[in-house]
Amino acid sequence: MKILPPTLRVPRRYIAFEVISERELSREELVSLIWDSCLKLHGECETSNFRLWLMKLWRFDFPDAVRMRGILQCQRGYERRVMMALTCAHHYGGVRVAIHILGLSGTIRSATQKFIKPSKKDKY
Amino acid sequence: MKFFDFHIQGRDHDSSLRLLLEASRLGYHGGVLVYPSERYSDLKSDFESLRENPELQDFEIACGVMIRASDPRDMRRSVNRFRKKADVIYVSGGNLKVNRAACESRRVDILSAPYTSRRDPGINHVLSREAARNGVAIELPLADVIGSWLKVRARVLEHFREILKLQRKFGFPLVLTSRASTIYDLRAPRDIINLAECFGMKAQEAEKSLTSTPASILEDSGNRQLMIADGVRLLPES
Repeated sequence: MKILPPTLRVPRRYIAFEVISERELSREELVSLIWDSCLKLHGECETSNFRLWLMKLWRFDFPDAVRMRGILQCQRGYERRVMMALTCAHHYGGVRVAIHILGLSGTIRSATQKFIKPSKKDKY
Repeated sequence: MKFFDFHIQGRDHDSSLRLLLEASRLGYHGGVLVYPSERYSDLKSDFESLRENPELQDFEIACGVMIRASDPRDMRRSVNRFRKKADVIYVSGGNLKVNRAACESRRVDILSAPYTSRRDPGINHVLSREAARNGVAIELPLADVIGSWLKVRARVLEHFREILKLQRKFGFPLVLTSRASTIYDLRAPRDIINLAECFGMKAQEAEKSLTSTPASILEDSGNRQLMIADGVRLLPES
């Protein structure tokens, strides 16, 4: 199918986030966790506006836990609601999880360059 | 701007250290380790060693005691016992008589989650006025929102909204805390400010409840021993 012209496309934003969990979650599990959290906090009607899509995922070292960083695509104007829902994520299938927001960006490239690279403060 | 996590549940030395290091990584500048009153004497030595830990040099730590009282008399007895030992005194809310006694006492710093096991928020206009007059802060622990879902979460958000409405009218201090017992319960200050929008709190209000309100409680706590009477403070000899 031919893609829409730029004026008709949905405007997007990219949320860089960090997941800390007791065991490593697969990509599918993480997607399910994000959707569950959005649906629980905002309901089906509101979540349908978010247009969520998990773009990329990286794994980092962390003491006593698994740490991953990723980029989540959402519709512009709904970023704050998505971030609220991500903050509320607490556990998935008996595994304790915490999601921290690293930042918000207009492109995947700048989100990666600004937020995903490990910082000096991360070292314990 | 200095962010404080005003309720981190203290346990043994290692887990408390882990929590404080994680809080520091997330952007907090200080925190209060809260110990249950029953275990306070056993865990006080852990707190002293954490305070001297070189890894936490840039992180301000204070010691708090959580008092779980069955009636106002019991609460007053415990507050008198711990007032000089701990920096911050918390009273666990829920019982209406205890909520009232805590709001009426100048010696209590924080009334924690007054809505616990109740169908109402646990404070009304009378208690709000008393809390504002005596400088007793009301604690809204975000663990109650994050750790629950569906009906329970909706009810907690409803209580938070009611308390916020009273706070705007009567102006008692309000603190947002994580009440974290593991690293999975901690959230970054910006995430907490974002989440506070869920129950109608403005960004400035949320920021104030994470920065200036905790700082003023700690400052008052430091000056408490020099306060002779209301409005009278003992100054050191020059």
